[in-house]
Amino acid sequence: MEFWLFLQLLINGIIAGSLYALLGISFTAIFAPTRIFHFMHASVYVFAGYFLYQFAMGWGWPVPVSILVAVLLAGFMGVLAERVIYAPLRRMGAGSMEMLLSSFGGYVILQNLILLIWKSDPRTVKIPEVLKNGIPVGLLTFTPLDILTVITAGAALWAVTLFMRHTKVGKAMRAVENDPLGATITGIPTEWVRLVSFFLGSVLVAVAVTFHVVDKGLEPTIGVNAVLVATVAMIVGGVGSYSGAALAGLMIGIAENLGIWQIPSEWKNTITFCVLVLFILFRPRGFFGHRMTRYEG
Amino acid sequence: MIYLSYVISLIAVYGVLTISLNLSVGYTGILSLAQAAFMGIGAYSAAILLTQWGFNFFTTLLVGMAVAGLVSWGLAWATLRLKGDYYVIASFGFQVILYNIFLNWIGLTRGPFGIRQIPPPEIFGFSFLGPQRYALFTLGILALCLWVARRVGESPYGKVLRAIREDEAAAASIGKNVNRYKMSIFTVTAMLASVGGALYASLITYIDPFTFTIHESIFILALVIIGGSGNVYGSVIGAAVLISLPEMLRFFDVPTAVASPIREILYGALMIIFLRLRPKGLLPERITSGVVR
Repeated sequence: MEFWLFLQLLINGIIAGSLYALLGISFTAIFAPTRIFHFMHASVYVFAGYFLYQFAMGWGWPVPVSILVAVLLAGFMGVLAERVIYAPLRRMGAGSMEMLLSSFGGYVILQNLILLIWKSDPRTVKIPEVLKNGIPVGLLTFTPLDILTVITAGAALWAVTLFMRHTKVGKAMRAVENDPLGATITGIPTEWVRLVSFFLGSVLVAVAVTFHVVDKGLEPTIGVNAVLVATVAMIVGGVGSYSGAALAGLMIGIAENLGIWQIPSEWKNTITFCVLVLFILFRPRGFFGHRMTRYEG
Repeated sequence: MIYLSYVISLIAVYGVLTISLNLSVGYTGILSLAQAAFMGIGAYSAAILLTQWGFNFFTTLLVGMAVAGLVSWGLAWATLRLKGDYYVIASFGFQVILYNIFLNWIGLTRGPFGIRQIPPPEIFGFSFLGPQRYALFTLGILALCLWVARRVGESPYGKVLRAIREDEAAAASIGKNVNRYKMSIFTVTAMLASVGGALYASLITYIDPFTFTIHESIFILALVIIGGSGNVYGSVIGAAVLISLPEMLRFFDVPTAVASPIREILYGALMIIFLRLRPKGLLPERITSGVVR
């Protein structure tokens, strides 16, 4: 019995962890090439959820179409954040602290726009019941939606890795990550590369929120937690490593869910934070990072 | 008059919180997102000890400062070895955890119900009851904080802090123990923040966890930036402007459900505008003498 419980919690951890992995990858896609601590990611995450809600429930569009449009709109929100908030600051020669502080400003504005437009009541998006019906395997249960979550996260990681390795844009992103000045000198359009990385990161985070919304519903406050998990996954994985961020996200999900065995679920965040502190103390480079020192300079 | 005294008290309380954060952010360049957490420690220490244990307000101040100091020292020890953005993430995580503790440790904090009827401070049988007396009291504490912060800022110690902000490697290379300086100023910041929290609890007379969220931390950060980072008088001006401006909304016919988001959008926008157009804030930092001994 104990064994089955353990197995079920492990599976729940993998399911939750897949979404965390997606969050970690999405934050890395933005942070690694641009080195901007994009706190507004939290608002993009929530906004994408409300777009989906508005299209599917408010205007009655078919759910797949709503998802597609919401994800694309979220991508453009990321691009907009770069154009409106960060690019002018960069031209002024502002440092990362000013970028981060402006990001907070943008976060506060967007967050309150959500309150003005959609109020703070919890919202849900209905999907076909089939996706949410549990499949029993022995004493375990999981739903088709869970399987879809894990597959999507895996596919996203695979696609991002291929993109970074084999496409021209992906290579340019890595070049900008390594040495922004050198990349500019060799003729890489860095401004444009940054836009791509914001688009990519925001699209990925919108995919993550889609699963969150159809599974657990929507509230204006869910963004902060998402960014906390995303950043912790990025650090623990080793900044700049997409597979590292994914592995770390998976690990956080498993740690949180196994923790529920002994600890009430309100303390989930505390477990995440403990993982972070342990890594800072004992392996500040993260899983696959030798890169942290480079950013420290 | 009563309303005016209330607003003045509120400005003074946020002045204390902003000055304390300015020591970290403005002087030393450590961006912390945990200010509301330390404010919460002070507020809950005061609220619990005053309502349940019948402590004197000033004793609760000391207890709050001790707790905040110890906790912040531990946090600083564990995470200040990270630089810049990474430290921000650690303080962000810490802020979220403390909010969770305020919300979920119901035995201690009464969780979402909050703590009511927090009495005013009292010294030698004299009670600072009523808005006017309380305004005087908070202004007194604010003046004390200003004095401490200025002394810290202009001392050789404060100059080392600025040196660390400008160039950490250079400060270390002339033999300054950078980590020790950072840890000590961060602890002072947390202790002063807990004083601000205790004043807040006593002013509002009711606290619940929803005050001490990441949004409060960002708000105090905005006050530092708009007032002028590195200038403690700027912090007071920033608090005065950003607290009194939205209060004006009260005189127009705006429903609260709309007024409070508008208030926040206002300060979010001001934050972005200031960073773009006047990054040094309303009162820019003044460097008295350039020599670091």
